[in-house]
Amino acid sequence: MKDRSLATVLCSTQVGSMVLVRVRVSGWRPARPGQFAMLQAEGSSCFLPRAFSVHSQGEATPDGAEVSFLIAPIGAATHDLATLSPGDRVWTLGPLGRGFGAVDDMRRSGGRAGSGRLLLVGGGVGVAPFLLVLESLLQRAIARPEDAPTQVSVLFGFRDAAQAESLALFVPAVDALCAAGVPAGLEAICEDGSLGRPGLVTELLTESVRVGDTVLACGAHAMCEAVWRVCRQAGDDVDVWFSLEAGMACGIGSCLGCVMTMADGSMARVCREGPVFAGRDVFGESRHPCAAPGPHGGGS
Amino acid sequence: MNEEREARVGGGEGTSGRAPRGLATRLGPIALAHPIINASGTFDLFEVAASLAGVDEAAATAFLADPPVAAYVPKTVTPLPRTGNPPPRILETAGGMLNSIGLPNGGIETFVARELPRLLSLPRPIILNIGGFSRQDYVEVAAALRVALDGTRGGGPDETAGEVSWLSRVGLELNISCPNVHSGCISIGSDPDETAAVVSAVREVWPGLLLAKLTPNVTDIVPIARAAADAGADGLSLVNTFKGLALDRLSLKPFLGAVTGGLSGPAIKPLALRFVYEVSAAVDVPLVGMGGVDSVQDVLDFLACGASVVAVGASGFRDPWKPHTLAVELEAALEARSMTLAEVIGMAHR
Repeated sequence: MKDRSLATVLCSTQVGSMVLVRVRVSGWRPARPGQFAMLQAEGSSCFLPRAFSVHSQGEATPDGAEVSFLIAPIGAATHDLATLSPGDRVWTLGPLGRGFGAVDDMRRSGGRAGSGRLLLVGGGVGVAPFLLVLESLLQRAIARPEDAPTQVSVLFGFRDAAQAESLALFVPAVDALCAAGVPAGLEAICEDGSLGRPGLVTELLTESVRVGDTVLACGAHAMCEAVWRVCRQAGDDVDVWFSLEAGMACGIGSCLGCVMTMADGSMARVCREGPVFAGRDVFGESRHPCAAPGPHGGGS
Repeated sequence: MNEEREARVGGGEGTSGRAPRGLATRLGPIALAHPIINASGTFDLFEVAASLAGVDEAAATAFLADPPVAAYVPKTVTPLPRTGNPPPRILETAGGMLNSIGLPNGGIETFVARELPRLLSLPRPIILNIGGFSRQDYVEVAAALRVALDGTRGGGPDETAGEVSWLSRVGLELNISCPNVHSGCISIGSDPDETAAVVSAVREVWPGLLLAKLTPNVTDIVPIARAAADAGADGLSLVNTFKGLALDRLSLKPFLGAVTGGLSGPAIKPLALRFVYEVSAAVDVPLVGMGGVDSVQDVLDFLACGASVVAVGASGFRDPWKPHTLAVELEAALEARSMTLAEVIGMAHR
């Protein structure tokens, strides 16, 4: 019988206040951008695994694939994952959930849906899924340039300089996208002014977003609410998608613990119906979002 | 062990290969290949298989063709649809987790139309778990299930035309112990008279295996267990979760949307074991032991305290293959002790 897979840690790199963990996972099926995996350090004192966006992945080989995750150590479970050494092992189950389907929708419409511009908005460790998004866009730009977005803007917000060090992880991918002929830019802002004027990522978004854009966002619930407000103010034709976070026990649809109350009052599981949701489903038409926030201060 | 697991995964093996030997047992009229099942509400076979399809198609196919449980216990079904409790619904706590899911389900009508057919198509016995807010609710749901089952091919309480009756593959578990709904349910299971009344009323309409799942949130479980057995329960499931509370570490307000929740996981194992031990000494019906089961030692402990069958709950969240793994390990553990399953059951009392 199949089992959860024990992945082997290849390297673990401190990136400011976050840690980039690269593992080799046997039998890994390539993740779509925005999908996640449940991870638990072998021997962790914590009971349950935690959900992490797939940050990046290498090509699948008979030995498995190299997959990386960006981890912010905030509690015991994430601390256990952030302090792994090469050779250590991690229980891994993934890829899971629905990713950023909007990326594929743009491809199907030949990158000409709306403005053809793609804005990637990340806050804190919520930047994690966007490297896989950029890698996927690069592959497409090389294989089928006519299907690539007309422009890609990466907009990141961080709390402080230590968090902002993760910005460096994205520079090569943005450069590669430019080299492949897709105009791409990377802008970041820090709440404490470490990167110039202090502020929130929504300020960058306000300056950039235009009618017809596609916006993919991942970050704290408050950031997502603010992103929705900014996009709604920009016009009804901004296509907004959120990758949401919620405490989940299983990640595979069993526990029903990760549900969010959607704008229409229905419940949706972040693990199965998400983690990526259309902005309208989460926040409704109103400019005053009402969806319940996911767990924030209690989990780890 | 871990080496072995990895080797199995690396080999791309899609099925269990073989069932554990020497563990065959029975729960009333239902034959089980081994004594490990799942606890209701902790494992959705179809959802897990659908999730696995994106991870490993062979594993997903194998999951339904060869489920990792000796019998499958789906989530609680109630007379009417329920959306469940407001989020957040779960939080990890020391050695376990607190949950307040609130029995979301589509109601009995939807269950009979959509769930029952695919449950009956599984290559395992099923134990349907029902909940309600009054005696009548339980009777209504049990009666609806019986009507539906009698109408299936080979249905009816008698074996006819060579068909195996559903009695040998479908059981019923009364959830009179959910701590997360605010009326009925746990208030029924906290009272011996109410428990007896519900069990005997359901007994009237349900000819098959009948289990009552009891709550540990009582001063003394023994009179309740006796009442259920005397009223006609064929067995008892011990125990549901322990009512608990956790605060948001920043706001210092209750974390769960429903304020309180049920505690499960390894933290509750010694507590659950005590209930199984005490009830086993007092009541002469088979017990399904559960509460923090995570290792083969936990399985042995529950068996030794008097459980005939052991259910995996929260631990299955992190590892949906856990019941099967434990069955394989139990076979080896019994072999190492040169004991049979029957010899281990109740050992702690002898």
